[in-house]
Amino acid sequence: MIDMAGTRLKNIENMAIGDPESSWQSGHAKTITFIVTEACQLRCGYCYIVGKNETNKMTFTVAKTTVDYILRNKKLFDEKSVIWDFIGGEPLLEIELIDKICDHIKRQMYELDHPWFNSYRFSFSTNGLLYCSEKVQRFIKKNLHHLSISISIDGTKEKHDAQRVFPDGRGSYDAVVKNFPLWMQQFPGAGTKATVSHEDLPFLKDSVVHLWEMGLKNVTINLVNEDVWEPGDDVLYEEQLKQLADYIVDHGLFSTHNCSFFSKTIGRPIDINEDGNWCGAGKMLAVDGNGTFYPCIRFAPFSMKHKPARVIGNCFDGLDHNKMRPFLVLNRTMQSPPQCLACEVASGCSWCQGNNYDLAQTDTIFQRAIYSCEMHKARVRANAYFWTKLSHKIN
Amino acid sequence: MYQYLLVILEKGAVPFCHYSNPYYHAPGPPIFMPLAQLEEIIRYALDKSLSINFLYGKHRLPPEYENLIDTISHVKMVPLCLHGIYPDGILVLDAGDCEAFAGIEKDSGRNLILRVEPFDLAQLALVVEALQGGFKRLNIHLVGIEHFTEKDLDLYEKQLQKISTMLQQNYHEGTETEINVMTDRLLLKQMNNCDAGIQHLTIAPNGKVYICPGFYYDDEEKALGVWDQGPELVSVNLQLLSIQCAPICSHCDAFHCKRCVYLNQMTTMEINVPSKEQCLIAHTEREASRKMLNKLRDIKPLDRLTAIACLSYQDPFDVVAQPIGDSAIATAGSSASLDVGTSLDQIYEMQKQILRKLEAK
Repeated sequence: MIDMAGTRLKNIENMAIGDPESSWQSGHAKTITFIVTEACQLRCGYCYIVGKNETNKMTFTVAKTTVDYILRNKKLFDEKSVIWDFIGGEPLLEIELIDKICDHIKRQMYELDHPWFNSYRFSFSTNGLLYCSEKVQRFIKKNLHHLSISISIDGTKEKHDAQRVFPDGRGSYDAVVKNFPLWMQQFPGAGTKATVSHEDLPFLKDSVVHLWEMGLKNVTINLVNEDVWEPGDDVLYEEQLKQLADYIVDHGLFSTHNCSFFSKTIGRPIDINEDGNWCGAGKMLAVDGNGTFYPCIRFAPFSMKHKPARVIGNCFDGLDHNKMRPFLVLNRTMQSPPQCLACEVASGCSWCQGNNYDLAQTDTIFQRAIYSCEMHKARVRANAYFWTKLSHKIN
Repeated sequence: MYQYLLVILEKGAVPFCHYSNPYYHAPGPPIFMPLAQLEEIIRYALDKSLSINFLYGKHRLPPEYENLIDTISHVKMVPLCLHGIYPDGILVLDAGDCEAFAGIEKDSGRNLILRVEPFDLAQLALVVEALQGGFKRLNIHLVGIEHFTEKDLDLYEKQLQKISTMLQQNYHEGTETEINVMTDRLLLKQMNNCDAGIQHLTIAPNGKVYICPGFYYDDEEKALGVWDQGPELVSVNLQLLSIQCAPICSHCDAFHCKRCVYLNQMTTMEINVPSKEQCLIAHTEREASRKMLNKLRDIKPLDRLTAIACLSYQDPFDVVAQPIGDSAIATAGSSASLDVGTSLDQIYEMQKQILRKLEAK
């Protein structure tokens, strides 16, 4: 069990709980996502990638053309820092290609005297199955000081294996967890991004605690964006979060551990002066194996259930600025229905732009899906319960 | 509510705006709208007190169509080749039609539409000069603006300067000539756009209802619904046609801009977001109007018109867009962060209020 922190706090400045996870360069870096493969060893129940396949893989020529286009167009990509993000499918399946791409990126940034040479990261979200392989380890050692690697684990074995399974239905928990010690040794501050879906809601509280017990003090955990919720899920969700709140307060974990479900700021009316978009689609750039550009991976063909992919250019002809415009002017007001704009507990209610587009009644990004409304309200209630309980405990 | 209907009488009807009609020059017999359908539309329009704009092709209508059309208040939009048959119609000209137009009797009370392809841009002022005296109002519609280059835009600006000089001379001589891209903005205090899908609907010969003819000719499947004793609209998200749902245009004061939702859809894939080219063209026109108005201040009653402000931008997108790399998006919606010194008591009080709100619901 985790020891109680035993800290008595009047102010929240030294409290770990309730703050969003800090991101590299405070989120100001440009993210370029390479979809290096559409293959994956797993068939996770909640995965948004509906078109997994073994055939669509990026070639080095496409990757090189993309890198060269981006680095040579400094005015278009004028952020001070960059995150070169590799995703799939499972990106580590293509580690040799990625190694070659990263070498090219480093060489080109140096030769072009690009400002990003001094401010870049290579980032991976992986299922972790290949983490300890020789090729992956060789890559990690070569690029260690510029690497961020997040291994996806959803919590307890029961919860993880309920969703994250091999094609034959076997759970992947054991195969992933055995690679954890080396990962945590190499990336001590790393966190995981866990996902919660309908089937595994009952394991939510135990899963967060389990991840903390594994040494991951900062747990970022989200509900899936898709419409998987059934009547009663909001009640179950609230119960689980309240149990988690009890656990945190009773064990004094609020000053040492964090879980993204609890926030100091959610559940308020939206400030009319904050009319930005929740999502960064369009500000980031995703490129697939053909060199086609998308506003993010969620607009690529293999993420679409109902709609055509949303293309914003390609590595050969460059960005189509007109196709980018809607993403850069999209705001909360223009895409939200009246009940969301009038909602008194709206802050923190999130959405995925790609999912909104895929579910919209017409081919638009200006229609927000609102089926997670009750789940958000459940979280707001549990969040209020947590802070109330914490306040009583401390005072 | 709709003010009027736009009825395409013939599949090969003359394109009168920014869109193109691939069937306009197609050979073969005309494909007219079925007479029974036209009867239904006119009956509906009479019942709802709507007027109708009829779009004609190159072929004269059969007499039973003409008789039917004369039963309702309407506007005819006809190609030059039919001017003798339908002298009361608004003539739709291509820049290349001007020579033929010069041969017909001048009518200074007439309304004209002039469509200008990019390759005719360099001749625009000359064409307008040739048309002078033959119209009361001239609507200029640029075709192919989605392919406009900076060079085209420069060329257009220079042509507008020449047209401005012509108009100024007219005003000084006491002739009030209207040319949409130069004079509309002088009088407008709010948006006066095409408003397709809001003020008017288009009915095609296939019996389907469209936002405008551009959608019909681009893809017949892009219908809003069908005509069944009235417009049976099945399409949703039509609120996106309104200015309130247009993130760039709602901040813009190029009030005369067509705000063509067909071009929006074609170029940006969103009906409520214009292309850069559409914005640049509208602002080039706005600036030309602004400069012209400044030179007409000595003429009454133009001296009473509200001055048009000088802008620091040419594309309102540059003012509205969130800069790429702005991390504000990451926190948008999470509301303002609390100060680090915020006391737990404050959070507690805030959360109590939130709970009360939820319980009240």
